[in-house]
Amino acid sequence: MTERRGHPDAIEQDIRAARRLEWWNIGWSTSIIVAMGLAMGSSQAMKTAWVEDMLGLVPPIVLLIATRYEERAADERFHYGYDRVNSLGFLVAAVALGGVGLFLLRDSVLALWNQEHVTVGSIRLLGQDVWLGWFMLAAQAYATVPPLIIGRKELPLAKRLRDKLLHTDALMNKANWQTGVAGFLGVVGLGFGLWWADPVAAIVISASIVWDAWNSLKVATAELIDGIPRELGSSAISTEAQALGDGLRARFPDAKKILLRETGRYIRAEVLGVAAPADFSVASLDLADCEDWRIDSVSFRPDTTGPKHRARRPDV
Amino acid sequence: MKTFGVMPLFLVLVLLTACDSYPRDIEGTRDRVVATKQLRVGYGQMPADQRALAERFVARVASSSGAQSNPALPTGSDEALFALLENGDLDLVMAEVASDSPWLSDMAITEPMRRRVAGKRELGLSAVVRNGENRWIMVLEKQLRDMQAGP
Repeated sequence: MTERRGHPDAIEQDIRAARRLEWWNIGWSTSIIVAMGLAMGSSQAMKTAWVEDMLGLVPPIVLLIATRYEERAADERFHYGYDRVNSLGFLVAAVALGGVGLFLLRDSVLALWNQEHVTVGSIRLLGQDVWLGWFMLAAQAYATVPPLIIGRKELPLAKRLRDKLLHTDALMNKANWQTGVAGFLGVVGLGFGLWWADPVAAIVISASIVWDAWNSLKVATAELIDGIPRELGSSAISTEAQALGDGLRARFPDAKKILLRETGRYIRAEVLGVAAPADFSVASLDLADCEDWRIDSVSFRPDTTGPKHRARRPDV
Repeated sequence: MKTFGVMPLFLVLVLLTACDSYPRDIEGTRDRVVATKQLRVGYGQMPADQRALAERFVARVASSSGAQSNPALPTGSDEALFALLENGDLDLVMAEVASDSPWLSDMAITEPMRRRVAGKRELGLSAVVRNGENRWIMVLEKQLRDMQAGP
């Protein structure tokens, strides 16, 4: 199946919807980045939220690139196709996210430790002196709306597409609107003369960035080292992989082992100790809990005495 | 939709602007000046014409706050004045600050009311206050703009 060109028909429409949503995401995020950049001044919470908004561009861009690559058929140099571009992008995004999150966390903790007092001046507008904090609050309030809406639209798509990148993006959008609220409260507190409100808000925001990055890193790493297929946002085996494993075991009771791994949104299975039957097809398995398109390939390895085979691998 | 929980807060803030108490100073400089009617000012070393302009500005600020500026405080090096300011012993320092001064991040410094070149540096005559005194800074910025706009 890896030789296919384009996405499987079953998910083609959802992929298109996801791509469209990500273009909207990039458009709205850019407008937020501009608004926040113009208003942020010297507020640590605003600066942290602004960086998070910028990082929020990474998952949609990676998804747009990855879905294009996934469409390609396998070729001379990539015999298994490009299904894992998604995971690679995911790993890169997670590392970037973690690095910046830690950097911002350090900055915010230092600001709190040094008891830095944030100065926010004023501007004369139509003869009135207006506190610049009002522009910060307006920018923060604006920054909460698009991620709230886009994140909610992404979740069901991510579930249908089994797309970890899209799922992470939905979580990131959730973090972004929560960041907006935290940053808003930080500036409000500053206006009340509470110097610590701003760095505390920044610490909360940067800690959430680091937490997101840590979770993403775990999932991306598991996939890249051929871990079992996992549920979205969890390290438990996915119900579909479980169903496929059970189906294969029922069909091949003599198999020594059934190995499962995940390649992007697809599952690959290997049946050990059994020769490939002539009449085998995935459709012949009884898989109520696993959609056909998710299974990329089932291969058979009759000879399990090779040096690479390790007996300590557990059965699924 | 937890976001809407922020809306009442936002309305409270809108009302707050009307009663002139938002934003507040972190250390309460403006309230103290108004309450004690004393404006503790330090003047850095500067040429006589700059000093005259600085005093005119301070007089405006004092009268707008119903306070008198305290002339008994000695002039000193800018560093010494900034240290007093940082410690809360002064409310305001009038000084010529270089555009690349290391104090720029440690103090809140208004836009210069007049600039001059000294050697390779540009010095701007500015009002300098403690960071985070956001209401007080608004008062100073308003007086600065009014002075530059009119007589």
